[in-house]
Amino acid sequence: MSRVAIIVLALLLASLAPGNPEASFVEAPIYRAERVLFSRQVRLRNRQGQYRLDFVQLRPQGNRGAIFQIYLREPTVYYSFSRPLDSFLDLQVNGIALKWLEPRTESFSCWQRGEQAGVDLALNFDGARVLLSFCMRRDSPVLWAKVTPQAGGTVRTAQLSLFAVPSGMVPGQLSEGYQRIAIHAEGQREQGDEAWVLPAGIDYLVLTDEALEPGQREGTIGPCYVVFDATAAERGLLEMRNSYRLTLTFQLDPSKVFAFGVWESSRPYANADFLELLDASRAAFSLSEVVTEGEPRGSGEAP
Amino acid sequence: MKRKALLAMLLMGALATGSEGAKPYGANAALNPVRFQPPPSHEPLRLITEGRAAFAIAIDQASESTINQRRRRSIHRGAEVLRKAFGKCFGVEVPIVDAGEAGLAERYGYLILVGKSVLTDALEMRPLELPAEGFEVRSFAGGVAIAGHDGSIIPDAYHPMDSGLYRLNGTLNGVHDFIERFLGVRFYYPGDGTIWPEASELTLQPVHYQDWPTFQRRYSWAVQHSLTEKNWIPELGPFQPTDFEERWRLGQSTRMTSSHSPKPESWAKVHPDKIETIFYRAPNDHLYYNTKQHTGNYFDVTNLEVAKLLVDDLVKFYESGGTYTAPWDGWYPPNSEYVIFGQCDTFLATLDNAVVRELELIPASRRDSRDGALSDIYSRFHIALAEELKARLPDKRLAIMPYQNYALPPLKEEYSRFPDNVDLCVCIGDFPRSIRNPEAVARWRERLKQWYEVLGNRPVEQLWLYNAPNDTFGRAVIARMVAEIPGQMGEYLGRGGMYFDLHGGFDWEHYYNYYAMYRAMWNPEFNVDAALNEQWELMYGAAAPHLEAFDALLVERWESVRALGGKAEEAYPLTVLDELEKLLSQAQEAVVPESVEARRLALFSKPWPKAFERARGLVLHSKPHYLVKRIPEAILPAIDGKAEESFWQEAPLLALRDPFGGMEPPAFPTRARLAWSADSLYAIFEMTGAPKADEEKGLFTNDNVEIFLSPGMDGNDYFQIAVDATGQFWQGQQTLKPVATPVNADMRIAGFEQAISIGDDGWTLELRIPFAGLEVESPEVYSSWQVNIIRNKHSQPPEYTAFSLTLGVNKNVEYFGTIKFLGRGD
Repeated sequence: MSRVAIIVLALLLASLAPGNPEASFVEAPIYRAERVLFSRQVRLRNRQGQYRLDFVQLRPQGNRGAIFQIYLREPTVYYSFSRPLDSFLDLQVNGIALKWLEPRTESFSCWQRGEQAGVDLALNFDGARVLLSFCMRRDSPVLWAKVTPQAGGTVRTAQLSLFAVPSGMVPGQLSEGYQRIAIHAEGQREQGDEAWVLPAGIDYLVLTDEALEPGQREGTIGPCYVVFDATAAERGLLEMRNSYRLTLTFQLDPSKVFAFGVWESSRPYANADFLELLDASRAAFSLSEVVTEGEPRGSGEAP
Repeated sequence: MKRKALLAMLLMGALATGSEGAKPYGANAALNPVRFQPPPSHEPLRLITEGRAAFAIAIDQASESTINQRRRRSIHRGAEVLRKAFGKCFGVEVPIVDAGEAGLAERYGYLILVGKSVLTDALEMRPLELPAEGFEVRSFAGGVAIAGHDGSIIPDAYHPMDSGLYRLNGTLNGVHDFIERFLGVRFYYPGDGTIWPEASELTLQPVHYQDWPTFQRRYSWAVQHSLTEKNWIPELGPFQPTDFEERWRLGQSTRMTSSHSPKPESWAKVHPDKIETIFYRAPNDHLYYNTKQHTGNYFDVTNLEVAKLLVDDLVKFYESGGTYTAPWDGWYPPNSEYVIFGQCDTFLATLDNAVVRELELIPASRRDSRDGALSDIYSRFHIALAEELKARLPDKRLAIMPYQNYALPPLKEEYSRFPDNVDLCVCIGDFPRSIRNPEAVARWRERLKQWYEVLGNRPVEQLWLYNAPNDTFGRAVIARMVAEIPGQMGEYLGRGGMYFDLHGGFDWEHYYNYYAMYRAMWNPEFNVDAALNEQWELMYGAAAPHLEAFDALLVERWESVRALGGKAEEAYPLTVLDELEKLLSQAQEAVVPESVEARRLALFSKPWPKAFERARGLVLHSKPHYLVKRIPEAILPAIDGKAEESFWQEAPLLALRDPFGGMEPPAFPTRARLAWSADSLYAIFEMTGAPKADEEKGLFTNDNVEIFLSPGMDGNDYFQIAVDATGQFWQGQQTLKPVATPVNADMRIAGFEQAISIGDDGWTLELRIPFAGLEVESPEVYSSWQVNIIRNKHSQPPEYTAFSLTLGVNKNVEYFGTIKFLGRGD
């Protein structure tokens, strides 16, 4: 049996095994805690994996004010969507960036409903309220998320950005050149100076690097994967230059709930192996209904 | 080294013959380096044998009969001090006899001659020819003479107009030197800090030396102030009147002094019709005339009529023989030689009127200069005053003090040469804290050189120096460094003196530091290290090595971090604080409980527990961060001094704490809150503790609240708003970047509102500060400002609390906390 087949089988067995996913607040060491004003840490896990989200309010430093960051700390720290000192996403509502907000303890709530468990973060962008949710499903190793406009304010514009470092960041690699490739249902897109407007119909990307592919280079990891509800976004834009970090930005339809999922693994996968895994476990890597608290002001349709 | 061994060595030094190498008999590196002369030739003088004195003290009893001030009776005081010292050290009662009596030698054996007398004349001593305050000690076969340059026996040396600080006590200085050098007496502080070594033998070898002070002005009001019964601290033992000033040879042999003079309130009373002339009126029509207190007044130095008016009054003063004192009312009046002019501490960023503009008195390059924006305005005025004085009172000199934003020399050619009747005391805010910072030294040397040239190649006579306020670590070490200034400033600094502004009262716990400093003012060649090393041994015995190491670590930290501009938390990280605490603890373990060393250590240790606590608080501290709630648009807040509105109840509390880092919560808590709307920042302070609210007093002496706002996060400038419990308020602004300018006290915040309510046990202050009144944009939602808020409780017991840990410097923007302007619904 091939390695991928074993993994697929393991995923399948895990999803069939009894026990729903869990979401809980945890207390884990925080890097340079003296710089932190406030933090909430949440671990989401099921039998197929786990993620830890660190919601951190950093103290003012120098001439910048306090900022709010969301770190994805598990399953890795340094690769894919996890970066030790950078938020893995940004959300701007009505031109106000998430990083300037000041969520407090009561803004967070962990929940478990049926075969999903997650955390909701209630955000207020100067009166425009939005619920940002993360969860795991019983049947999937993906970290699912959702941006849900709430009643009581007007979301005129909303933009979500995701930041990723596929396959790692090797010292000196910039001079050698990265070879980032985004693989999608219709083919693949290579890195370039021009940002790429995602064509209609593309609803997932496998983010890889051919030069840093696990198995080819020591110390690399990846690839990583992002899936999204393209119907709830007005536009998607991938900026994938010869740089360690790429950015995927969605201009959201403010009347809709936008759902997405990210996947990363601490276990290195060759690019082909992951694609094989994806093919074999399509349902586990696909959007399905993600439960959230509160009534979405938009269509309410779940992906 | 054990203390007794050190004392023995000290006295053995006195017994040495002087034939061993180049070290003269009586030389001691821990004492002033006096000017030794070849010793006379005679047998050793066995002054005390087996506890019996074989000498008398001989003075000219009739001398000083016209001197009423005890502290100017140098010869009689000298004899008393000498007699007391022999009594304390040898248990002998030494008679004081008249030098004119016949048969003294036969009756008493040896004589110690104190002050000029027929007997010193017979020895051909010429003490009155010594430099002012100087003295000569010379042994002879029949004893030893101590005689000095004494104003008390110089006709007309003292004038009724002269300050009592002006005293020429050469003989008294000589006596103190003698008892330190040959009896081993040390005056570190009153009571336990004064060492009188006990002995039963004293033989003096032939010796001859002279000495006189390098600097003429060596005085601090704070020392004497600290020795009054009211201010006496228990660590000095039971209260006892003490003459520590003379023991440290404080005083002055120059009539030049400098301060704020005349007294604005008093001068205004003399000329009620000239108030518009005397005081500056700002473009916003505010007249800088304050009847309640010293600050708030500002003489109009753009108006040369002010100079003429002052000279009119000076002429009246001198014509009246010094009885016409109304313009000064006891506050730095003129004296027989000097006239003083200076502004009080009302800091204006700029002066603006037709004269300033027409004559371009603020050169473009100085417009934003913190140290020199007003230099040309002041120099023009000072020259006019000096010339008027020269014309009408040609024998008088003018003492002025370049200070604050006129500390730099003028730029305009026409104001760059001062008349020769002007002497300067330049204020150096950087010294002594930056004495070991080569850049600061070079900067000030250049400035003094420029002033030297403005004075026609005459030196700056005096400097005004500042202690480190509210900084125990600095106050423990920097004063001693004053010894280095004369060498650094060279020919540009005269010998008028260095006034050390204690900046916070005299702290006897750092006595050794000030002891070394005043010694260095007498003679900058004084070996500070040798003196302090001797002091640790003499005062603390077995604890000495630990305290010496403690002191050395403090000096090293200051020298390598603080003097170079490093922050306190960088200089004193936890490892250093641990080491200092350990050394102090080891010192405490090394002394016997209840012993004199333990009592001395109690004084030495007194400030450190709090200082360590605060320093730890500073290291561990993070800037406070406060979230300012937005007031719903539908609400128009009423400024009524009450916190009843719902938005106040929902606003989070803003914590005030010890601004030095102390961990103790305030004894008088304040419920402070901020809120904001699109056009204003609102604040409310509900304060416990009945306030001091006296309408006759100034704002800063009443209970008050100060708010410092630095819009944005760049720290480019800040606004200061102060309001007291009577409703008096003050508003100012200072630009910090790119070039720091003085505080602009002229600003008025349009639309500013305040309301106060005073209850039985507290008071409430509510404020509205419109952003437009600050001339800044309304903050963007979720943006941040840097802020400090201070509550100054001046009613008893006083308490000082703040939002930011600014180490007592309220406007220290670098340490300000932040506030963030939240959005609707947050």
